[in-house]
Amino acid sequence: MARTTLIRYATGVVPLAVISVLLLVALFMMNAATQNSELFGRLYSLLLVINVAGIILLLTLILINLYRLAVQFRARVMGARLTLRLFGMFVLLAVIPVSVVLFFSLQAVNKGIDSWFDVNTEKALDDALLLGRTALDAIRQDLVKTGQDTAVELEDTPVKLVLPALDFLREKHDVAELTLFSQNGEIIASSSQAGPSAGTLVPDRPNETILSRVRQGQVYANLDPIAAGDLQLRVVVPVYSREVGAPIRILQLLQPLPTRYAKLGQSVQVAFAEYEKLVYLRGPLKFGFTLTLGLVALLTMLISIWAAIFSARHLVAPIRDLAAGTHAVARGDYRKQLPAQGRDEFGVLVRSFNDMTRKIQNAQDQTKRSQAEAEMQRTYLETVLAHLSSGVLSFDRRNCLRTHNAAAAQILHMDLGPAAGKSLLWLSKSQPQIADFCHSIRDASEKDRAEWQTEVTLAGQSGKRTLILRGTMLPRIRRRKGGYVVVFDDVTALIQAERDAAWREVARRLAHEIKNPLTPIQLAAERIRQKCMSALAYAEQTTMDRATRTIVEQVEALKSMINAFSDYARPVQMQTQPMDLNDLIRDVVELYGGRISKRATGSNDRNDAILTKPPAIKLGLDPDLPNITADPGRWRQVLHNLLLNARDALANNEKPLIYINTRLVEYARENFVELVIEDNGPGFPENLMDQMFEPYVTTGDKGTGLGLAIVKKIVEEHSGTLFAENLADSGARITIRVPIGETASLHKGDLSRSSSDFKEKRA
Amino acid sequence: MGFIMRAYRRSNWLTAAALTAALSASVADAEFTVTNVEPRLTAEALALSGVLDLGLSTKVEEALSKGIPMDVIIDISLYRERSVVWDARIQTWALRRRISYHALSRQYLLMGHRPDAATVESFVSLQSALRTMGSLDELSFALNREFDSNSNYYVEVRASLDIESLPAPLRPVAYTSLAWHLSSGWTEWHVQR
Repeated sequence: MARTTLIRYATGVVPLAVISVLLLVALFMMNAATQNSELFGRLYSLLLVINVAGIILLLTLILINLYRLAVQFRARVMGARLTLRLFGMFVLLAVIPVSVVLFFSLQAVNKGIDSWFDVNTEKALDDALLLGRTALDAIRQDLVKTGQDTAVELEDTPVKLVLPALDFLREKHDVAELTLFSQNGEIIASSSQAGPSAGTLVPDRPNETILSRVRQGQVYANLDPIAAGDLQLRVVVPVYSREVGAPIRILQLLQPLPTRYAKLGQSVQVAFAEYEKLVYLRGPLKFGFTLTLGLVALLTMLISIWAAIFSARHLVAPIRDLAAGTHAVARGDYRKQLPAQGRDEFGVLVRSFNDMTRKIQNAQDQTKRSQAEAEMQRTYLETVLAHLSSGVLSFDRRNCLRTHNAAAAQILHMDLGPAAGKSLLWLSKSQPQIADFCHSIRDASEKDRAEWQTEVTLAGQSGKRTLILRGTMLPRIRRRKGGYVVVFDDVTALIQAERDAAWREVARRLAHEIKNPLTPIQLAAERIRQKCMSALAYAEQTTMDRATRTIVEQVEALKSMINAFSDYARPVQMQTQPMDLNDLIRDVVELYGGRISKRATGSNDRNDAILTKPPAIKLGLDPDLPNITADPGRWRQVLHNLLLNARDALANNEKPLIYINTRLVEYARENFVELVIEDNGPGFPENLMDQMFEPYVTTGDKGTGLGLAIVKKIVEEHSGTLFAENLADSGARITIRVPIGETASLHKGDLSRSSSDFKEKRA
Repeated sequence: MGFIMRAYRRSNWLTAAALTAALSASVADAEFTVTNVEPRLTAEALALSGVLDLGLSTKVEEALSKGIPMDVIIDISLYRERSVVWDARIQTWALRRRISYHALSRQYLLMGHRPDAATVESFVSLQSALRTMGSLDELSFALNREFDSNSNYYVEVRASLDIESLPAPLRPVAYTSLAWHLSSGWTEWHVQR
């Protein structure tokens, strides 16, 4: 991370700007140095190195930037393509003019330098030099002659007289300095006039080259530049001795040039030397200017390229941000806000974009809130529907089921999940037991009424059930027919309850209205018998006796019947407790086991003995059957009534057989204890199936016809249901289902305890 | 060098070899050599005598003849030998000698070779001027500390053309051309007592 930051900083705008400024300064100094500036002349090489290194550094930084740009371009980073295009454009715009300027500058510089040199000037300078040399040659020749004359005069001068002779000759010939050397170059004597060089102790000595030339007999004569730019003539001549074999001596004459000559000569020398130097330096000077101009141009180009990179990036940055923002919006991120830009058109664009996303975000939030509210409403409706006791179904305009609630499934005794989205036709075909229900809905809906009501009877395992359907048309959407809602209730129990209530009222009135006159009738009959019996003849007495007895007996029978009605009609106070149905069944069956004639006293609707073969009773009791909350006394009556009913039905059966089964069943997500009693008798008459549990509906000629009605009453008092059906081959079946209720959660210990309590109570 | 490369490309090996030999020969002539140096230590000074062979390349000679003065720097370093670590550099001196051409008198002028810096000596021939320029005649360099009589001393001597003293426009050319790189390199001479 630190490395990336360092690279980013190193390749950023600040270092590049600093390098550029420094390089420009260095170039300025170098340019000054090229123009022979004293100040920068000494620094020229250093400046050159600094410039070249700086340009290499700048080039490296630019290359790094370009590399990053290329990587971004290859990775298809947003905006890289545009940056590259802008960069290319800027570079072209910068490089072409700079190249043109460089070309013409170089041309101008080269021509300018060339124009410094002129053939005539060169010729004039050469001539001036030649003239100077010629003029000086004449003076030199004079001095050579003087030297030679002096040498001749010194040939026979003895050593002791050399110095005076030199003084004499110097003054005679007007020479500045005369020095006589031995053959090996040692000074013998020297004479000099007072002058600029008079202060020096040692006379000027010719160098070894000159001395060797003179030893060989040659004369040396030349112009010697001396310090401070002055010129002097030096003539060295051999001095021969007249004595044979004597070594030669060397005489040196030094004569400063006359001031006028010296100045002119110096001027010509300086001008010629400068010109020669310039001519020689023409090439390097051109090279230097070309180098400086090239570096300036290169630096300008590099700075332009660098500026192009940053300008392109700067220009593209808001576009890239905008593109990224639009991508984000396309992805569904409406919270995207772009960084604020300046006051230019990009800034306006960015602000507009931010406004747009903010508004979209608000709209989105609003939509989400609305959706949440709608969802809440839907959930609320679903909750209400789920807890309605009425079944609710909604259909679309093509009669396809859209929604349903739990009560609907419960009432129809089927799982409506697979039927969702399916048509009524499909429903009626796949579920034949509710085909009538489906037909009724379809028929009613086709009439296009806003509201309708109908009643449907469905036959099923639990007997016939009556449903009341109420349909309501849903509002039209965009002028298209909407669907409809069907609300239905199972009114079987209600109808039955109404019927039962009516019966109870009849029973109560009957008992009240009939029972009252019965006792006077009975008493009157007995009084008639007592009072009139003695007054009658025997034959009549017999008739009277039979008649009055009949009256009394029938009245008694009527009383019994009325009492039975009263019992049926009277509301009973239930004494419920946890009860093990299996134990009760075993107790009751024990009473019937092998007993033939007399029947249980608990039943009040049978008084006659039944002389038939006792039916065999087979028990199929579920050992895991939980307890139910019930009144054991009343359940005992239920079992008695059912067993008697079965036994009556099996009266003419050779192999009478009764099955009693219990089991735990789950129905509509609720647990029930199911009691099933089957026989192999003739079954119920089909025409009585609907009224089987109503009072005074009986197949036999015995009893009050209240047996099954009482069973039904007791079962319903325990919130149970029961239904009767005929078996396929032969026989009848009565099924009773009682909800387990809270006692279902009793433990086995509680169960056994409850059972034993019950047994004790019974005992 | 371009024509040599072209010669190589043409597979004219003989020509190329001849050209390369000629070029290396000219470069070989044009070099500075420290022929002999005799350093001696006296009580307070280092006395030095010796001969430096200063051969100029054609380019340098041409520039000299066109009036451009050339500075030759003679660097002298005195070292004391040490057995464990590197040798200790005791002192360094640099002598600057300038040669220039005087067109009017057609002589080469030499400066800086005498103790008196202002002394100008003129030479008719370049060779004699260079010879004088390269001669170290009993030079004496004062020591700023006393020397250890038990240690061994040696001097390193180098003669080189000072490109920095050339006119500014000529410097880039000189730096980028082998003909201008004239240096003897360091040579080592043991100091006698």
